[in-house]
Amino acid sequence: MKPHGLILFALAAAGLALAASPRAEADPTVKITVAGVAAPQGFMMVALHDEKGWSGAPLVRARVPVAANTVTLTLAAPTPGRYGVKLFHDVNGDGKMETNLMGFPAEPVGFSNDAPIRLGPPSFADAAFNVGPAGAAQTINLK
Amino acid sequence: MTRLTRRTFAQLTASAVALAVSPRIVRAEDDWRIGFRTAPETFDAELTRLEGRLPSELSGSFYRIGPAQFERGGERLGHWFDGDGMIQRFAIADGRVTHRGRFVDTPKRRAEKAAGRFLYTGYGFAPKNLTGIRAPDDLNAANTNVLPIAGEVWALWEGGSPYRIDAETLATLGRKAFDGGLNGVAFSAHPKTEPSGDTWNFGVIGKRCVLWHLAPDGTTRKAKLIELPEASLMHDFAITARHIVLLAPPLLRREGPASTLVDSYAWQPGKPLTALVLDKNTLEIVRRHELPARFLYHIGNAWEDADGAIRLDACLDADATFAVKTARDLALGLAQAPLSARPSLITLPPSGAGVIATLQGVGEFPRIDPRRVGERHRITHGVTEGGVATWDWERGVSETYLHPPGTWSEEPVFVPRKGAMGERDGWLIQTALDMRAGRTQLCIFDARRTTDGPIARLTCPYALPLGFHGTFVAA
Ligand SMILES: [Fe+2]
Repeated sequence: MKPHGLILFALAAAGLALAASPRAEADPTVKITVAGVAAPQGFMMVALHDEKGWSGAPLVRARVPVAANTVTLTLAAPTPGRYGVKLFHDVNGDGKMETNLMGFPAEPVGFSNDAPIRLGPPSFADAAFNVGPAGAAQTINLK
Repeated sequence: MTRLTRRTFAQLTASAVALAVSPRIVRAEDDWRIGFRTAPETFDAELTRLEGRLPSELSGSFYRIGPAQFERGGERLGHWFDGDGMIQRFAIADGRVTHRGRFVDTPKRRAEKAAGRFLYTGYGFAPKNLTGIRAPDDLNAANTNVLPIAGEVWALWEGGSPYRIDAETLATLGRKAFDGGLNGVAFSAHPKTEPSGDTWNFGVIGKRCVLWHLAPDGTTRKAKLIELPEASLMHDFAITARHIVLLAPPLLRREGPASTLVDSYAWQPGKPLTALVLDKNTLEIVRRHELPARFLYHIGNAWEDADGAIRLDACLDADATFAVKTARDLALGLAQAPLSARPSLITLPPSGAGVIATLQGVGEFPRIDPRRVGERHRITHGVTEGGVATWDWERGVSETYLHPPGTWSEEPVFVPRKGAMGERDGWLIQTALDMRAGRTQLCIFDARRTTDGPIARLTCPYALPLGFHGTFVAA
């Protein structure tokens, strides 16, 4: 039988980036610092979502090698607006987020605003932040 | 049905009619709150003898565990089940007893200690400043039961992993990380070790239920995830020679926001206490029985009877007041309440609903001869208000001993006498908090004569927080 419910935790769900062309002069780039890496190996798997796609496919994704206890990266938001970030540390580098038999994540995860996780992903409202024409910055601690 | 069993039922049913009157041992002047105080980081002392003498044949370690952290940063813990676990060891040898107590060193305890305040919600407590968690082990309090296995002692909680404890020093060796997809999966606090040495367990989160079968060395023989018909708050389970029995009380998951786990469940007296019978080989549900609505924490034991029925004893309560109110009031120091659960024998015929027959009096923390797990048992020992009780399921009677007034007694554990096979041929070991002296006692009873009272009573020089469960490991 398949674990259900927390399958939403599977951040690596397939989904094409639906990036629209940014406006000419706007640079809505999100600078992300991921802290709290326990094992500097594998990849940081990062996804930017809007409200509509919070539980589904991300707008933009990134896969960044992890070689230190902190990882920095940028994601280009399609337009200024409200977004949320989901990420997990793919420690074993297999491209998937490991879960146990009950569906709980077995690899470190993190969300924008360090939105609290209560045995399930946080709500978009808790994770949402504004990305202005000049972009935004987020520091996310792995849990 | 055997003649003996039929007689049992006649008697049990008759006794169920009699009104149970339980003595109120806790008086106004007795400060039960000393059982709910934060323990110091460590306890180490030799016990002194108050009366009687220790049997020379009794040698080994009596382990107990329970919540022992009741406040942080000026905030009081809001539910008994959420306190950090402290493991106690009473080492019995050569007529002497030494006690040692150590907290289980969990990430939850470390994080809260560093923060100087409570951070996590668990079973029934949500602190003011709540921190999020990734998985249940982040709030694992390791406070509910102890399992001797593979030369170690595991400190158990309900919703996550066991913690491995050094059997001598009580040092925390680390979280038990099961292989593969089983890492961090709920391993309940009531595993059952059968005579073969194999251990069975269950673990539930919502409707997701994992069934575990472990080898004596603590490795997993088999584990399987099943989906339960309803999300019910279950604390204990039972095994027979061929089956697993889950007793799901009608404390069922409800819709809507809730600040704690127990608040996300609602008592539904119009719904049954459901017994789910699973095949030990396939780990699939093969039978389902509906019983009158009752709440329970603990099951004594279950067995396959000659007539094809499964019989099991459990301490059944009329509702879930203890979980949602009493255990909060106790932790907060607001109020204590008399025991209300009743020792009961449940019959699950091969087909049909099921029958509950209840003994006279109240009781909790049922324990049997550990050599009879999953086999037919006649005797269960347990706590009664301020005392200890022995329940005889064939005669349908309860024998009790009451400690002196002002005593809060805890779970009795049966220790067989070496080389003896009789079901009562051994001792009962029970801790009891003397609220007037402010000290925890260790009492040893001859299990053949429970009503005679302890044959030895010793005392610690301090009071221990009241705990949940224990186990004896013979030297
Ligand atoms: Fe229990």
